Amino acid sequence: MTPKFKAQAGTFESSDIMVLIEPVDEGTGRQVDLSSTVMLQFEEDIKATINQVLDAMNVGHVHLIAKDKGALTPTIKARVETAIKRSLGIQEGTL
Amino acid sequence: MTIGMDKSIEELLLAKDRRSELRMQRLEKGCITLSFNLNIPGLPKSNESFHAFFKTCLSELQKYLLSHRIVTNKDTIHCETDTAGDFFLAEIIDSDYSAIQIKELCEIFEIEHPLGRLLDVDVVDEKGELVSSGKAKTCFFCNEAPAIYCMRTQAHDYAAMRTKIESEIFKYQASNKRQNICKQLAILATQSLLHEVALAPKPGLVDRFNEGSHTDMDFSTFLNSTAALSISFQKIADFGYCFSGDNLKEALPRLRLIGLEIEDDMFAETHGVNTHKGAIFLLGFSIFVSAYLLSKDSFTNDKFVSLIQDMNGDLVARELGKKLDLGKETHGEACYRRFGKMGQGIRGEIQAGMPCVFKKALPILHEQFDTEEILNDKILNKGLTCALLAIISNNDDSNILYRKGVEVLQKLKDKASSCLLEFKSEKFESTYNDLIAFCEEKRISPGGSADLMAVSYFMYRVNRRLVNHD
Repeated sequence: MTPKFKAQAGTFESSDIMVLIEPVDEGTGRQVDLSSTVMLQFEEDIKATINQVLDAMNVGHVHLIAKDKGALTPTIKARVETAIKRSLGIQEGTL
Repeated sequence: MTIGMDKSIEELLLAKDRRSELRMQRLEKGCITLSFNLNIPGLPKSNESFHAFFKTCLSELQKYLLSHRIVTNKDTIHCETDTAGDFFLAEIIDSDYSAIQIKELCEIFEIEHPLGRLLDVDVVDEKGELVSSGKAKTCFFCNEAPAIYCMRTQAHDYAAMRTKIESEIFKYQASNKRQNICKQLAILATQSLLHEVALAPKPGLVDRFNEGSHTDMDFSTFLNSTAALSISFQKIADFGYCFSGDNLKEALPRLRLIGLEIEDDMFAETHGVNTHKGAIFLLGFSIFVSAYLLSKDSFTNDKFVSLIQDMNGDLVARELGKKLDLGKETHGEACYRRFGKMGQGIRGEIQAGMPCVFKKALPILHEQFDTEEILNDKILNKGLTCALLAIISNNDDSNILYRKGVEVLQKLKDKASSCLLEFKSEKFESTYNDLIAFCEEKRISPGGSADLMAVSYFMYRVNRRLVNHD
């Protein structure tokens, strides 16, 4: 699955994460840019969570930008899933 | 393809989306926004006790902000409870502070608050950036690691965390309730003394216009004395509210001690004149027992009366029947020796469970005041006069008995009864003036009855304001 549209999910509220999806050409691979208020302790952990969702949804080629304000794992999973679905055109809404 | 989203997470995130949307609307005007919510792990994010706690803290936060002259725009306040919990959001009206300074002040609020780690005050600047000072809060549960670490690693069991949070909130709210009830008891006790002395005209007693049968005190003496008493009423209320002994009698020495201290304060303000000794005794007991019962949510007049009686037991025999010391016989002792049961005075009234208050005055106050929204001067004057007459007509005031004997006391009681009978008739004014003239002529002042009237008003207000009647 390769995202077709720019899309986003999440907010900048505390304990939430904003996920932006930018479509890339087939074959480009995954690029995950993360900034977080808990970067030092949890960068790897959050990236692993994001990649886990991308794996499960079979997304190989994408540019994903995530701005985290201390979201917990279930929130991160849900926001990434929604953002991807929106970029694939299978879920309404852009926010 | 879909990995599936927990329904509750979905609802939670939708609520967050709505919050963000609301904030964005306010941001369009280029304002700093401030939001407040509780940090509650697990679900539900709000319930009755969390909601009440949120409301308490929100009110504290708003006063704190205002004290720093940070003003929220009332028209922009959004305050509601959704799946994500209780949430408050508002714009900050042009402030001398920058967003980061407001955030720092809010962090001080959180740090100084006893349960600050459950509170989350977020400030978003004019550009829509969540302001962060980079300081990590410690975990409420373990008090060791940063909260975000424990949350992300799910270090603690949700149920255990919620149990601890609920119990801490319960303690905090209970302490607030104690402070509030004790404060109100002190306010009501002070009001009862002020309304007693202000009531006019009164037979023989000091009132707002004259001194009655007294030569050594006037209205100002009573105001000064009331001020001295008022600051100690809360101490008695706190003592009663927190009293945890098995037997209320164990409280007597400390209660007497507080009473003696208040008497000193009174005499210092009145240049040695006894304005309120009887009132200190009666109100002291009444505040103590009311606070004790209110702390247990079990106040009723019947329980109050039975506790007052338990506490005092055979007060008359104990304190009047035998001499406490070998010094000069007190008026109370002499009165009891000479007149027996009739001369038991205030101790007899207490020992009987204050029948003048509960059987005579309170029914009148309920009849006169219950339907009134605000007890203004005119309404108070009518109702309290009626209650005072009911008390005088029943009370064997040992002061009058000691000074003037049985006949004068009986005549006073009869005249008060006549006034009571004529209370709703045209003849009331002349009958009442006759009673006032009688007291003036005989130089008598039913001070004991005035004290009981003040206590009656206090008990009435406690019943109406502090007791749940559901």
